[in-house]
Amino acid sequence: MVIRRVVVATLVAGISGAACAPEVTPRLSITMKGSDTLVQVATGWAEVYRAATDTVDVSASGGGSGTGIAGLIDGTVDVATSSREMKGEERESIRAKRGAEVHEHVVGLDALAIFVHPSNPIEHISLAELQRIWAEGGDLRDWSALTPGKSGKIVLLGRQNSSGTYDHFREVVCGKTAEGVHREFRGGVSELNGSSEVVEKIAKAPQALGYTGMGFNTPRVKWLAVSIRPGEPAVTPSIESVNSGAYPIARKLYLYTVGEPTPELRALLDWTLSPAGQAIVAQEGYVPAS
Amino acid sequence: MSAASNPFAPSLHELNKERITRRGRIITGLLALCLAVPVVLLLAVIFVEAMPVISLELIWGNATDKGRGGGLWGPLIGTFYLVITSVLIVSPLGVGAAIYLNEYAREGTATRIIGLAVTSLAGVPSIVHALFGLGAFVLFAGMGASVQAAACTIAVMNLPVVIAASREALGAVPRSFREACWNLGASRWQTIRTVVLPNAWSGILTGVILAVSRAAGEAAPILFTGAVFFKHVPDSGLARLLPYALDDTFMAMAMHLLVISTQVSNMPPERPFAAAFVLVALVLLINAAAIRMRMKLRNNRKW
Amino acid sequence: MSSSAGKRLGERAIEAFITFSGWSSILCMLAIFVFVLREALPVVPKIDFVELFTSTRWIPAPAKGNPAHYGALGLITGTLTTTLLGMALAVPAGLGAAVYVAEFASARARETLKVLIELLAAIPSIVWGFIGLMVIGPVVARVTGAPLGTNLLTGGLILGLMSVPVIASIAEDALRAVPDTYREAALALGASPWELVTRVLFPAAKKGLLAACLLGLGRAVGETMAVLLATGHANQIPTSLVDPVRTLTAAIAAELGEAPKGSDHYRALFVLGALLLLLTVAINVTADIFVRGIRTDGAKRAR
Repeated sequence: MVIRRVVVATLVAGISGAACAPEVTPRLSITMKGSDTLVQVATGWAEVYRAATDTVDVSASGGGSGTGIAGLIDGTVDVATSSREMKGEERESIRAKRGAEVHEHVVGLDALAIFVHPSNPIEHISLAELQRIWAEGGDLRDWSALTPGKSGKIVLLGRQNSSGTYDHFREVVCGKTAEGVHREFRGGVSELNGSSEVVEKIAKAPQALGYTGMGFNTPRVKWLAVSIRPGEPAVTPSIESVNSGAYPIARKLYLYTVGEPTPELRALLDWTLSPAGQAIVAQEGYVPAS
Repeated sequence: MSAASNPFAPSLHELNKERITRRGRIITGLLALCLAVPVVLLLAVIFVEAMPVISLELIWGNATDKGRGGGLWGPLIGTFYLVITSVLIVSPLGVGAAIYLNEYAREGTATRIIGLAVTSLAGVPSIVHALFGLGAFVLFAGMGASVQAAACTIAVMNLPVVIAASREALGAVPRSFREACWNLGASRWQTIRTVVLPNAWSGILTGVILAVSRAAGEAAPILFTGAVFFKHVPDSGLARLLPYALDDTFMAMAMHLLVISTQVSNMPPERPFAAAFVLVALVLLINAAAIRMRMKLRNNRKW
Repeated sequence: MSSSAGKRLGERAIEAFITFSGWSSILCMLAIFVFVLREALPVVPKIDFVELFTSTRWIPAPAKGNPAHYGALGLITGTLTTTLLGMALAVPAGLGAAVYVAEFASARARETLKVLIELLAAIPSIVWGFIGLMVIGPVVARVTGAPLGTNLLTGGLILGLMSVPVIASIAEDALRAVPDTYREAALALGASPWELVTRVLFPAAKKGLLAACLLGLGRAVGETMAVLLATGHANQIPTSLVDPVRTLTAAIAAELGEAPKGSDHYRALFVLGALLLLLTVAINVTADIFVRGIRTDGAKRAR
């Protein structure tokens, strides 16, 4: 009997709730979707911007740079966050489907860092070695070939195939064959759905080697200095090395919008480049766009 | 004591059989324990790991710092609305289908095909439900990613649950009840409305409650049909209780747990455990209510 | 007169709704097939089906200038191995527990175990995935020295734990459905309780037991969130028990959100979804045929 009353009461509450909700929250909503690299920055922006203005609601979600761009093509998101540059075909699709041009805004810089377990004796690595580890047809499988103090199969951790991080890393590290064909990743890489997952797993796996944005560094992992060829001076990821271009695997972080922005959208975009917005970028460990 | 002096003493053959039976009982008992012990152990582990952050603030507060702090109010209220909307959609359809199958339809090819459809629906993987929800509700019906799209997807997923429980409840009402009504001149629907449904009501409600618990726990169907990780929920006022419109995206407990256990860096480990604990506690409470209702029903039967 | 005519109209409307609900499950099932196939079909001519089943190169988002490859062999073996491992654990545990609950347990033990089994079944799959990731994974890594806690073994363990309640409850129903006359006859002939179970009940209930295992299998094959979190996401054919793997369901869940709608990648995922749908529906329909066998056999025996 009591349960019956409770059920009826909740049903009534639910119906009136679902029916009434639209009137109670009449604020403008801006959807920001895309890169997992940027999702924490975007969430930080959403939280702070909400407090800063009173009329705009920003909702932030991840899924990979590809998702955000896909949403932009479909018209289901307002702002696509992306950790890679938009491809030519994607710009074409937007021109075709939404009849307007894409606007690109650079909101920060990022370095793709190579992470290992803190117990791993290795300190630096070269792009040439990385290519032999990560690219299809590569021959470097064991730690003993990289550093004398360690042996065992290298366990590879990366991002999923729609991630801008995945795309950028493949382009820089796997490179091209002599015929100019771009190499794919080798099989057997754990394709993780979020950048922090990469770091979390490496922290627990002494045999692991992984890549992800520098913003995800934690005291529980360590990153390697990267040189272009073995024996050359290796560069650690940092604000300076990214800005100077010395770190070989750096990239820009983008926001994409379609067509002329509405005043609210324009205000949001300008705010992300303001000191307040950029402070959040820096707070998450990335390099501010200035 | 030799067997010759006591004619009723068990023979060697019988002792052997007894020993085999005892062994069998122990082995199957241990296997049954294999079910019971992991549940209790795992739930205990979740509870212990979550203990540092269990408080009223966990339920009532908003998530802060991308889920690293604060509470679970946003996802909880989102799950609440999702479940209510989905149950409102699935209950009339499920109960109606059960009434049709039990009271109106004649045993034949039609009912066999419907039964087959219900069984197949029950076996569809949750990710395929997600694909269906995306294709049918979000895109084709134009609902976009929203509470209603997700609720419809989950309703389709729960249809077999409600139908099965309702059919059992309706089937348990003795035929004599219906015959008595018909003899008095009542039409079929009048019989159902006045005699069959009231007696089957508790069983039907059990099915609805089971649907509620499934709707609260599923993550895959809502991933692409409307759940998001962050959406602002006001800190006070009426809007706190009603933050999502039907055509809005929403936060949900299952989605929240998924994201904070895999995608937020530097997450203090108590937080995902706390979210898991709240979700499991919620689902188990709902199921316990269903089980209790079923036991009471069995005791209160008037026939 | 007019009031009863009005009543007839209202009643007619309700009965129309009931009939519609009755057919709703068929509608839903057909709709799922239609929508999944509809999204999948356009890419089918472009897919090399030999490659789909024999190659592990799943490269839907290729590097500049390269063609896409849709080799799903790695994913298929991922699903196969995790499911087989899960079944290897769940079938003995489930059947053993069912035997214990049906034949050997005291009334109170039976009630407690049945409640525990139901609660085990109620735990949401995302929580299972979380348990695999945060609780069982680290234990497995420590015990076996595996490099990653999320691997085939962890995934198989979790799938096993999830399928056990399905198998146990349906097998228990099947064993209970064997008429008492069988038991009485066997005992009268001098069978021990264990012989009763193995020589009489198992053969008599074999259709139902098979159905139970099939339904457990269906659950394991279709499971999404648990394997998404617990298996490690490496698309490869596992060479050791602790290699990370990826299942069909996890691949769809992980990649669907990011594939642009209408692209080849998106449609290829729907192709995988269609394969999963066909497989699980086939498993469930087969199980249903066996279950119906119990009912008709029971009816025959009772005569």
